[in-house]
Amino acid sequence: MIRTFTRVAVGAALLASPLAAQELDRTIPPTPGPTPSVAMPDVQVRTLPNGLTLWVVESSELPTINAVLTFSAGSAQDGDLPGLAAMTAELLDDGAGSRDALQFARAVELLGIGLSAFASEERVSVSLSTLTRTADSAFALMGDLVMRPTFAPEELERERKSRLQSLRQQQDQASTVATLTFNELVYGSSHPYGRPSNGTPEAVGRISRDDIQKYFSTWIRPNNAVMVVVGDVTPDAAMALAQRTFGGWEKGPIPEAAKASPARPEARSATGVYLVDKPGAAQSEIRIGHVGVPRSSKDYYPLQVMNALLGGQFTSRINLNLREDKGYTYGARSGFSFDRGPGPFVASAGVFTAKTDSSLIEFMKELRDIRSSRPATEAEVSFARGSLVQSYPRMIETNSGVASRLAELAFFGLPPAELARYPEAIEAVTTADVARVAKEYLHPDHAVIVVVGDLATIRGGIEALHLGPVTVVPGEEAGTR
Amino acid sequence: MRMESVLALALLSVGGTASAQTLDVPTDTFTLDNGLRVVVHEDHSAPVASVNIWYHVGSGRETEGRTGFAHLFEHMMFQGSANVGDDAHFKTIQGAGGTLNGSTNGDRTNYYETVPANYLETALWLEADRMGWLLPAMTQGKLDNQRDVVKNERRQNYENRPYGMTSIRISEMLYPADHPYHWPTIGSQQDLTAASMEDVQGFFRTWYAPNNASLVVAGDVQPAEVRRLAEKYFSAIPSGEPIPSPKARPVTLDADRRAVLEDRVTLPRVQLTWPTVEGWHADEAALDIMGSILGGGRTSRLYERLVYREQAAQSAFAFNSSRELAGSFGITITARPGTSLSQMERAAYEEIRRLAEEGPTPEEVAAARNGIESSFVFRLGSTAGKANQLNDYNTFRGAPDMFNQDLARFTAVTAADVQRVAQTYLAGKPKVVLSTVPNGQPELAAQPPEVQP
Repeated sequence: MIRTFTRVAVGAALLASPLAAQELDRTIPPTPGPTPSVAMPDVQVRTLPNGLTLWVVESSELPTINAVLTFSAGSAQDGDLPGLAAMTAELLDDGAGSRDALQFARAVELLGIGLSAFASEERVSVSLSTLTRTADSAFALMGDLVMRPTFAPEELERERKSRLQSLRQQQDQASTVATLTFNELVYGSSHPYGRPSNGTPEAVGRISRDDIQKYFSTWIRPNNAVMVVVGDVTPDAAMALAQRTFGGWEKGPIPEAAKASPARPEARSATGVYLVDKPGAAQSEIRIGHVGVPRSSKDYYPLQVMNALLGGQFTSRINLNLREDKGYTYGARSGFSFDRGPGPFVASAGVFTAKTDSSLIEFMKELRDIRSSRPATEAEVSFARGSLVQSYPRMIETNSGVASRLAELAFFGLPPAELARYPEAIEAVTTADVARVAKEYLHPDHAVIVVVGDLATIRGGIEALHLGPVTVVPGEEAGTR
Repeated sequence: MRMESVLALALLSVGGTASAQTLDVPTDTFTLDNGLRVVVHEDHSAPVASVNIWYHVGSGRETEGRTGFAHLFEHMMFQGSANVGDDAHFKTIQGAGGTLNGSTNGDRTNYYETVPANYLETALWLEADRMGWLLPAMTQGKLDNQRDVVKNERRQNYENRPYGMTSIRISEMLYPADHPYHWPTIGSQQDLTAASMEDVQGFFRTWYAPNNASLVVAGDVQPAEVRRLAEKYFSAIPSGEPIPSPKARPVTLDADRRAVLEDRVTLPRVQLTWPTVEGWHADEAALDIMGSILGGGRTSRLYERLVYREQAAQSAFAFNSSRELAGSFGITITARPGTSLSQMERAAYEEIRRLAEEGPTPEEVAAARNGIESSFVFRLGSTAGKANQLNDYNTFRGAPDMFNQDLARFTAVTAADVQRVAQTYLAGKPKVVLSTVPNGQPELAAQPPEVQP
């Protein structure tokens, strides 16, 4: 049906042009041609009678389909049981419909499809990737997974046992310890963004089948979900597939909390330094930051541009300084987590143990300079804007890329058209905007600084910087409360 | 209903009558006078272009006392060239909204950027300048800086990572000291310290010649235009000495080799590694599928038994890795408290023996094959993925559009093939056994079984 063909060209000498090679002035970079026009994904929106919203993009370049089903839930709804959403998501495919856990896994593997569920802070996402020819069977399995999970008691015990061990193993990884400790210190252990999504040993030890069943029946409902389908399927066929798979799924009362934004914790009065000991560590893991802003912020796009030049790209100030100038690290960065509520802003790196204090000096200098003595220049802002705008064709090149971006917009209650608005929204950001948001949203003097490393070597140097009161967090407590 | 539809498809696949997917990646190929091979693949589905260059040199070509140099050199290629300023390579591509990187392994070094299609010429200008005129821009300061960066890469990805040193130790035990895979691509801290400007110059002159490179351009491009631009920017770069491809050098062991590593880890881990075959050997596909059956997923034999049923292990994986010169088959099992690594090692031998004696079920082979087939199709979803795979085929097989031939190797594998490779390479064969245990607890290491399987 489809042929593969190769046209082999030989005799390159005939076409070679020595004259051009001699005359070429390599010191002048080529001038790029006109910006190519980008075909915006055509997003068709449909809704099933039970409230399930469907966003479909037909793209038949390959015989494949990607689907992402997103629920407004996640570990933000864990309450006093950190790990509840994660365990519920993990158990969805451990037996569903008429199949037990192994039968379900075999069916997925035999089809050669990808089907998995994952809980993040504010979402439970179920992702499917399938060849077109296996789509019917693949969606049927996806339907079982989200509508008819068994939650067999022996599977819960298996999952509990496995998770308790991974929580112990998590302590081996300095980067994970640093992030968990940072989140808890910034938000507090009772805040949805301060609790570990993966759970705590205490809560994982006592989560019951009833807890899981309740979480599932509350949140995993068609009227709390959006399904994005991208690939080799017409909107009508996708709608028929969704109706066939999910038509019989009952809607439920969705608590207001599904759409609520977690509260903003009080800002810190001063910066504090928190150290976790990893004796003998070759590197120190650094996290510096504070509460950031929600996705709904009017400054979302200016913040994208500001962070791109501060620490969001290889060529950002932070990375060029700490890596390309000083050689302290393999990579340093910064970023905002734009969530329903104000997710964290964090600057981070793993740095050579002997350069831990020097790295902190450079990080703090960059965070302070951009909001006062060395604001972003016109050239930097123009560069960052161009970089983001022109990355757009790449962002929407693959079906899975389009699916995950649309799923994110849908989750935040934004229309599909927001995807197409991205280039103009970035173009509109001015140098003054960047200066303003740097001042308004970066708070290096009200920050949490976490360093996980070999304290015997690094503690003295860090204390001598007088960045703020220094507290040693016991290793066994770091990120496990 | 639901179950029937899955089963119907399953039967088709098991019976081998399902129509195999055709992978359509048409190419134009040509070679410049200086030996640079060029491949163009048109894909106008998005206005992007991927430029991808492979140099046929990796850490395997390094010399004694200079391990890690091929990779350090890769870093130097991003530090500017005669007509490209110090950070200009990164800035030009990122400023255009593109993405870029490079990577080094034992066999080759690659460099790639995906840019909006109107920046194709810019990307080719950058690649040509560092292929032809890197050395005038090299300085001791740049080398010292990237040496520090790479040392940090080693700390981050090996020294400071749980179980991070195991792959280095296994290669040292599996391959003799003069074998190109004996030392790690990341190198040793000591050798990185020793690398000099003379090394940079010598390495560049020897290996970074157009006749040792392959350039792929994929995406929203016209073959005639790519050809014009390739001539324009690359044809003035002189050819180097001819560089023959290295010959495959698979290894064998005459007896088991055992070792213990202590690390900052909570759970002990045992890793079993057997020598297998180089890439494109007739047994590679069957070995890959055996990896999938033994330890590739939740229903794989080791996972199902040790993690799911016995709940003795936290994780269990197996996979075959066939590289240009040699290959190996590895099993990695992490034990839970109350389980010994010796038990895990014995269980692995039992499962290998069972596979060698009875073979896999047709369903196991079909599931592995179907997963591989899907991954081939999904890989065609991005121009960057296609460009890199085209270059893999072009560099190691001398022809770019090998997708269908490659896939056909896997769809042809039978249960009998898997049984045969289990007997040939694993059952009762000498291997490397590495235990990684929490610091100060060497007694947790796997002990050799009294009766060898």
